[in-house]
Amino acid sequence: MNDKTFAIKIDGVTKRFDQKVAVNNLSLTVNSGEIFGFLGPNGAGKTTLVKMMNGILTPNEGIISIEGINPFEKPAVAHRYMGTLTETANMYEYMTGEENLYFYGSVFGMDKAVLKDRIEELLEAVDLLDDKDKKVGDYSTGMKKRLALARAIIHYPKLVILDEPTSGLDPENARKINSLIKEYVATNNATVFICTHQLRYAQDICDRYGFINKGHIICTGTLSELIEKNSFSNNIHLKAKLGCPNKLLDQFKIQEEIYQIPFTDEEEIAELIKSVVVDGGKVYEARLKRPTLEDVYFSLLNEEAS
Amino acid sequence: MLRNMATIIKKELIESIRKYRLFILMAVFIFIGFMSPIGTKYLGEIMSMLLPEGYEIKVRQASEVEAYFQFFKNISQLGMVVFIVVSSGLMADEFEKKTIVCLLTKGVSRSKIIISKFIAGALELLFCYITAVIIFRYYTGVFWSNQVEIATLLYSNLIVFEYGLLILGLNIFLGTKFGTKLATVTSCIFINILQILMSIHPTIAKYLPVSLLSNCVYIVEQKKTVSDTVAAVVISMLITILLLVISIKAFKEKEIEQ
Ligand SMILES: Nc1ncnc2c1ncn2[C@@H]1O[C@H](COP(=O)(O)OP(=O)(O)O)[C@@H](O)[C@H]1O
Ligand SMILES: [Mg+2]
Repeated sequence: MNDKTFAIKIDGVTKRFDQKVAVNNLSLTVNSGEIFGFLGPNGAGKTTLVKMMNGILTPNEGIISIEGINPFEKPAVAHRYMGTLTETANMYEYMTGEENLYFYGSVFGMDKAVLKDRIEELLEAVDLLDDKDKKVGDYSTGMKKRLALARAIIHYPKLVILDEPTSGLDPENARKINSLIKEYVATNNATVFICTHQLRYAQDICDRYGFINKGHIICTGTLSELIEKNSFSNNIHLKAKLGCPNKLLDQFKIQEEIYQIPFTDEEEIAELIKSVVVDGGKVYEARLKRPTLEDVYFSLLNEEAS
Repeated sequence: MLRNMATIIKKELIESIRKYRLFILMAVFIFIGFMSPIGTKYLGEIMSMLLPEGYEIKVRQASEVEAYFQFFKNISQLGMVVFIVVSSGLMADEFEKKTIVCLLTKGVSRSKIIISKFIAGALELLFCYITAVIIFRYYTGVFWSNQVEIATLLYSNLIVFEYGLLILGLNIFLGTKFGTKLATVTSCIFINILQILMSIHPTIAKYLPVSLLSNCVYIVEQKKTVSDTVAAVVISMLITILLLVISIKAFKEKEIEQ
């Protein structure tokens, strides 16, 4: 098979630290052009996998291919294609934000004139134009993360790998990062691989997901595929005062006058409301409740645990 | 290809200036350049002024050779210790401050990082050392009108500088291996002390790099010729190169845990 149809192809990868198995026989593919969310609790093995994709750690077993290239054998070539925001994204504290970007672009081999414009554009995009002459040591966490994102995409990589891009950020900064990522993908037709345990931000931007726990993949797919695969049902959330006891509704009562009823067909909702009214009851609120990423995630993790 | 090495060297120099490392090294070397000849010239006079009438103190004759002796003593003790401390962070800081990942994820090869750091460190030492020598030579000219030939001056200082390069190679290797500045400084000083202890044995001493630091004086005193010192010089250079090679190997094998 030609690996080039995939931006990332991970095949049977295992990484052990002494006795601890951090990544366990993990296989995964990420298609070109998608924003892939790699979700899992702390210690699941996300960062370890990212390091292997960057050729910083070697897998004990298995093969990793980035656009058809083995990042450990040919790091320089692999890094032409990808830009990584690492979890501990430290830059040189004694140099200014602008100097840091200049250094990384230049060390990558970018042309001076191109780099100058690119840095200007990036500083503007990450909202650091006014702070470009401050030393990075004086930056806040949010500013450092934004600068790190600028660093990661400075050379227009086709594949962007982001390890916890929003961790430690306030909601506003997190939203800023997310919209920057979206914008980058839209204008550069890039593939993005995001590791996070912050489901809300993931659901905001990802097309497809992979859940990891204790070093192995639990499930992959789009949200609707995940819902379908695991036969999650849609629910109707109903607030009603019943005219007379209703056996069906009593079964799904979650608190006084509140019911959560699974359904498969929308017609069932109409029927249900009609029956309540006909029996002399009152419907105050009826709301469709689709399973969220969070519901799927926790239910899959709990399933794993038991 | 060489461009990214030049970029790293430039970055090292900027960091050295901002962290005052270059400033400290320069200040110490300038101090040595001044104090060695001036101290030699006036120490005897100052001492006899301080002592009460009738007392006599034995001070070495204030001569040009004595000034060289003081200069080399200061460089190889104070100068080298400061250089060990100042250059210990070259690799270790990148691990300690967790900046190495950013560098590696821009696709810079590990061998280029090591070599660039070595060049940057060597340039800094060279710059400070030359300044010290110029100041020193100026004052020996004023006090003793420079009896020591320029070739002797150059060779004797070159072998001391070579020892500095060895220290640099050692610090890069130790920094790569241990990843912390403290471990780097401690083990570098330990290795130096070990060498000094080993050099008590005269036949071993001849081949030890640390003998360069006494050979420089013998060259000026004309107690030794260039050919007497060649073995130690060649061995030091080979060890320096070897240190760089094993640093690259250690760096390539290192699993970066950040
Ligand atoms: N260098 C290391 N040495 C030993 N264990 C490690 C090392 N790096 C990671 N681990 C362990 O591997 C597991 C996965 O870690 P990590 O990949 O950082 O998880 P995540 O990024 O998903 O939070 C954790 O249990 C962690 O303790
Ligand atoms: Mg992590």
